[in-house]
Amino acid sequence: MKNRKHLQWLYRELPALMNDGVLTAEAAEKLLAYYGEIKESSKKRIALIAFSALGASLVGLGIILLLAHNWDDLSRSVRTVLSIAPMVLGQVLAGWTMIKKKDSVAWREGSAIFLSLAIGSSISLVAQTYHISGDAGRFFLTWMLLTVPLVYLLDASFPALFYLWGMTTWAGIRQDEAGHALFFWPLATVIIPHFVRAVKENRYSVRSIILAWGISICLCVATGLAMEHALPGLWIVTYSGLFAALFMAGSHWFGEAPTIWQRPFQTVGAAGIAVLAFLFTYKWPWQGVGWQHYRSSAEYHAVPAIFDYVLAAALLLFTLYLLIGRVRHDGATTLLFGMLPVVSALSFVVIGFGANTSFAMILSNIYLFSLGIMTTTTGIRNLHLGAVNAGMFILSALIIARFFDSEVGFVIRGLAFIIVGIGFLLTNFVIIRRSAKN
Amino acid sequence: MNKLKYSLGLFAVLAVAQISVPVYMIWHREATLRDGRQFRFQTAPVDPYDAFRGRYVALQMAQNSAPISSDEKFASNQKVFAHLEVDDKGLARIVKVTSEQPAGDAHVQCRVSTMTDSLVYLQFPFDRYYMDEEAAPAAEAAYFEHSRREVQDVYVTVRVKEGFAVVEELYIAGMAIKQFLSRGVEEKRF
Repeated sequence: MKNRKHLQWLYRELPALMNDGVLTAEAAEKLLAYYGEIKESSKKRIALIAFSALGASLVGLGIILLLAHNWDDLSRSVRTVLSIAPMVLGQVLAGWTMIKKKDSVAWREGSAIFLSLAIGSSISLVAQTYHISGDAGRFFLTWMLLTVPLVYLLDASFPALFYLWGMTTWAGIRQDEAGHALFFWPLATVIIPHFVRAVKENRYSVRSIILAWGISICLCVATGLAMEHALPGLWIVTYSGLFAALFMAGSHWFGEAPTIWQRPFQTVGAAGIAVLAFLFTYKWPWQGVGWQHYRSSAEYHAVPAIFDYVLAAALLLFTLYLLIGRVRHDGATTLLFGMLPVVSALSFVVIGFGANTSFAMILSNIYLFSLGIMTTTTGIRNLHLGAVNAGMFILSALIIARFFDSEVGFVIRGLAFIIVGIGFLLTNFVIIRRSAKN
Repeated sequence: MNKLKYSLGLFAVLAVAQISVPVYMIWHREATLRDGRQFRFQTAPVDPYDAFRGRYVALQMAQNSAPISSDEKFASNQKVFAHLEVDDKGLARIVKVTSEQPAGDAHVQCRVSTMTDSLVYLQFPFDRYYMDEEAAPAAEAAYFEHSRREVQDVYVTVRVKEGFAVVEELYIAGMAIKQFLSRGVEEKRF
């Protein structure tokens, strides 16, 4: 991995290494020649790309707003020209970029995002002119399908993110209209080859990272929207599986990333796991779950709902596969994070068979407590302050929630707090005694 | 170079597809406005706070249901055809609903919203009239006034061709809405 930061570190170390006789001057020169100059221009390049995409988006959105004013004085023929003009301008820009500027990321991203917005503005203006009734789902689907080829033709990533946003919105609209959004999945996978290509080029490049953030966030929202929710409580298994799969996939394929920003899958996954585990310590997620409560009214479509089960099972199996594969590589904390779907699937099945909700609540409390403790201790062991804080945050949240939890009696809560507290103090005592002996 | 030609070719196809969507939308509606048969649909008073969402008038038809015989069954959201007639006041009236498309232009394609034993309730393909951002509040006031007084003089003209409907104009007190509003402005000036 030729990361700029790593190279900077290596080049800083070179003089000291030569002084101490670790490297000869010749070897140091060879190293420099091998890795080459650090690309100092890359910051400028990123700024150019960012501003080009931002500028094009603002102009495109401005055109949409201007046309949305719905100028009364414009005749239908003027409106026709106005509705097509931004799109043609965008197409000319994109075509020119393909011929003359195909090596400039800034031009490719900028022209692609402008054309993407122009397509939406064209269709909306026509809809406004002819008072077309508000079929938002169809509008979004048409818009997105006309946009997504730009991702590949211009090798541009902003339209890919835009497409993910649009398809997620479409899924939401479909569910709102009491339809189903099953087609979200095949339609969303259209951008996977683009992501895979970016990752193959350099998995820690700005492009790959931005795409990975977009995909992780989109999945968090879209999974719930695309599900039929015919089987109450299945979301518990699906979302546990989703976050654990993101987290484990992140540590498997993107484990070397130095910063949180470069670890979107792990960051989103870990945050999701902690939040979910916290929610699962309450009673409400576990009430009315399982087959006895199967929803069969018209807005729940039984056939698309089959995909819900496939998705939950697939996420669970994928996480298990990664867990087994990573047993030798990862520490216990990482594996514990990946264990959430196992815990929640077990609870879901047991409660589905009629067990009391307290089974799941107690199990989730134990799970979250262990997660907090393990994160904190791993953080202390690796001198990683961020992990220590995250672990302490999980523990404090759990403690505060249980202290104010009116579901459990005062006496039980009091005793539990005292026992756990004594446990901590005893552990400290043992550690101090041991280190004194050493 | 060949790769560029190939991409450009694909891009040309995409560009044509992109342009053809609004162009087809425009063409289909222009053809309907030009050749379609005109019907006047009386609109029902709408809750004034709900009547204008942003920049358009939410249109609700006074007659949004039609009688059905007991052996007819429609599914919710099913595509159906509402057969139209013109009553003695010159307003459109739905006489019956069928799932088969009839010949001629006196019918409009709708979707079934709900059913009772004797009535089928319809969702019309026209439910909005877009307005200039600045004219909308005045239109709201006018619309409200004309429905509060229970003067049933608000209607919308729709052109229909082979079941496809395009909204033409919204009328209040016999005047096109823009004309009605500009008259209001002049009255206030003096």
